[in-house]
Amino acid sequence: MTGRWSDMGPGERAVVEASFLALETAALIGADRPVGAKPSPSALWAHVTGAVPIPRAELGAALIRHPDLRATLAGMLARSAIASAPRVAAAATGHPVSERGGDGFRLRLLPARGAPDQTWIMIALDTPRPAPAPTRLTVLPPDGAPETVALEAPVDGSVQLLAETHSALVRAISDPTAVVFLL
Amino acid sequence: MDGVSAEQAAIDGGRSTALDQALRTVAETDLGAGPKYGPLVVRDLMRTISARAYGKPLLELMHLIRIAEAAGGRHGWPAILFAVPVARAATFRGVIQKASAGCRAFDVDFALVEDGVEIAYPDGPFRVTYGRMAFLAALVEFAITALGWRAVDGVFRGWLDDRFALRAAGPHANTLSRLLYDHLKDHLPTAQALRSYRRLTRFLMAARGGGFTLDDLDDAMVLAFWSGGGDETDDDGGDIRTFRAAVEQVARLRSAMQAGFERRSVDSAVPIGGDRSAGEVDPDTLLGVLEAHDGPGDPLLRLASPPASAIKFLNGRETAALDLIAALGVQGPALPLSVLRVETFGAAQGRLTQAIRRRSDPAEVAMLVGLAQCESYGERIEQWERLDRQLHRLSLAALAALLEAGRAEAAVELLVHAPDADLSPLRGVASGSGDNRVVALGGILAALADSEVVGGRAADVLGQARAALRSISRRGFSVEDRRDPASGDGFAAGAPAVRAARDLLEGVRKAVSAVLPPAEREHRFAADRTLFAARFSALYEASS
Repeated sequence: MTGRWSDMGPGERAVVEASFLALETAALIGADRPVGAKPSPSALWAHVTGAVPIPRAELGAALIRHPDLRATLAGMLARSAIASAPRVAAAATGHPVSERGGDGFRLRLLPARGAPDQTWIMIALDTPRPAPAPTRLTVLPPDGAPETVALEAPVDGSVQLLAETHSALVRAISDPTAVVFLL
Repeated sequence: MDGVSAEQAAIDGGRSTALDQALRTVAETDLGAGPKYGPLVVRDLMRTISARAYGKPLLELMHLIRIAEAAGGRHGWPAILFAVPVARAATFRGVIQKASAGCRAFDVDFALVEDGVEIAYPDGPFRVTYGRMAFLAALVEFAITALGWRAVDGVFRGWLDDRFALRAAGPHANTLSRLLYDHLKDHLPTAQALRSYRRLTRFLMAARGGGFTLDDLDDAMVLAFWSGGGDETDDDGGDIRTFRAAVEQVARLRSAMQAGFERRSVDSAVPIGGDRSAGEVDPDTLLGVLEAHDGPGDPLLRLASPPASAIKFLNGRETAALDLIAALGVQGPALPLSVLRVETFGAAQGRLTQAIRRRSDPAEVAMLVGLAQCESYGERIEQWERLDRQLHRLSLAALAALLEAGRAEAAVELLVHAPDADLSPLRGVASGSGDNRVVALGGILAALADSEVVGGRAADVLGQARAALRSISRRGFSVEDRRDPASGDGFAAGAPAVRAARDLLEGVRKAVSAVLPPAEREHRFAADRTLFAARFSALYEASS
């Protein structure tokens, strides 16, 4: 197998060129290069399902560095959620809300009596109850990291938890542009 | 190009960050059990993307999505493809077999078969093997990283909502293929690769004339090209600065030219046009060229992948010493002096670029430019000799470990080390059939260990093998480590990879001996050092 370059026809030279480009391209894209870490879809899925949670700060930084990740995270949350509440229709006004209605549940924020710095998060599951029962509440705001909290088992279709009024979780739920997921 | 960008270009070249990042994201996926995708899977993914040969894999993927959606329960396909901590055939087999037990569709539309899952479409069956699932999962991982969840899941949703038919998969696979094509059109460094191609061929035409042959792509050409003959700075800094990069480019052109000569009889290939649309040169042809070029590098990847990676066959220094030789594969012996120059002056260039990156003292940079402490050719050749002996020792130790573990692979390894051994007495031991074959295998292995049966030569080899096994203290070789049931699989996968790595090294060593006899080494090294120092000075001293 030998020959001269000048004896090659256009078809053979096309194969040489295309082969070189494929080899060179593989080398160029295969070389190591320092870039900011981006969680893979598997890692995001493991986070969403609670199998291997990504530390909040790490995930928040990745979402800032790679804005396209938010849509993937939202899609995965929607896929794995038992129920979800979309952004509020009047979100454009920007006013905080105290109630979120979703497919399969209703969530309300109620100030704790005698403790203004605390707020009850009350979730009422629709009948028939979703099965399995949700174990986590995740809120995905339009920016920043998602907020997640574990849920107790429902009693008569209701779950209640107490949170700091100024916590990131309550702020996120109040944000009409945030999406709420029961997982 | 200003001084800073010239310096940066000397350290690395311009590439698509987004694509690099997507591939690294896949390669670095770790769900707490080590890398999810092995080096061979990642390499196959890169080949497929580079050659744009994802048409058939995407069709397979559509069928895997059907299977995973059925087996994934409430969460659907991600519960299978994303939830496995390590993407291996055995893991997918376990997850799917477990999930199928509670899935009615597995009694009707899907069937577990020996090596995978078969889908019983009304218009014909389709089988996805467990062995293929790791690659296909990595392809999904890459597609979502590059295109986003909505785009990819949208295609999958469309396919899952479509009619349950074999023929229905094609249009959905094509949709995803088009999305990938549009993305890669903007991110594959094709323009940069094309400039490299034109620079190389123009240089060859000028230096050797239009009638140049494969033999003209030699050590002298590499040195002349790197020394300034190929200087054409681009706005993306795509000019060749490191000597290793020049050697690897010439090696790639050699492989490409060989592919062109091999395809002489093919008339249908048409030149790639301006829009580089898929299919102008058969992607499978390109995939074949990629496999032939970098396939010889597989031994190092196999040693770094499970099950061989459970055993520390090579340390970091040994792996580094074999890295270029494995990367060049069959082209290494054709460019022996270039290999030697990369390992000596190229290594010095690496230290130099690191010093510049660290903004080291100019005196240190000047010393590195002058190559005062560069490893000599004689020293590198001696290191190769030591490495060869070490690989031989590792290979013998693996033979002893395989024999001890009662693995049939021990017989193959013994014949490799003692090809003239007369194993005909084993015929008597090997008789038997049915259940007795297990007994016979045990008998063969026992006989292999018996010098009375296998004869003096093989017995000598086995004695050396046992001594080698006792003398190696690396992970996986100790008596305790060898009690691990997985140890046998590691040695069975690692032994041929170590031999293959040794063969690659031997090929280069022989070629170097042929072109550089011991008496000429010192003189050649001194002459080359003057040349490299002058080039380093021209490349780096102005920007340091």
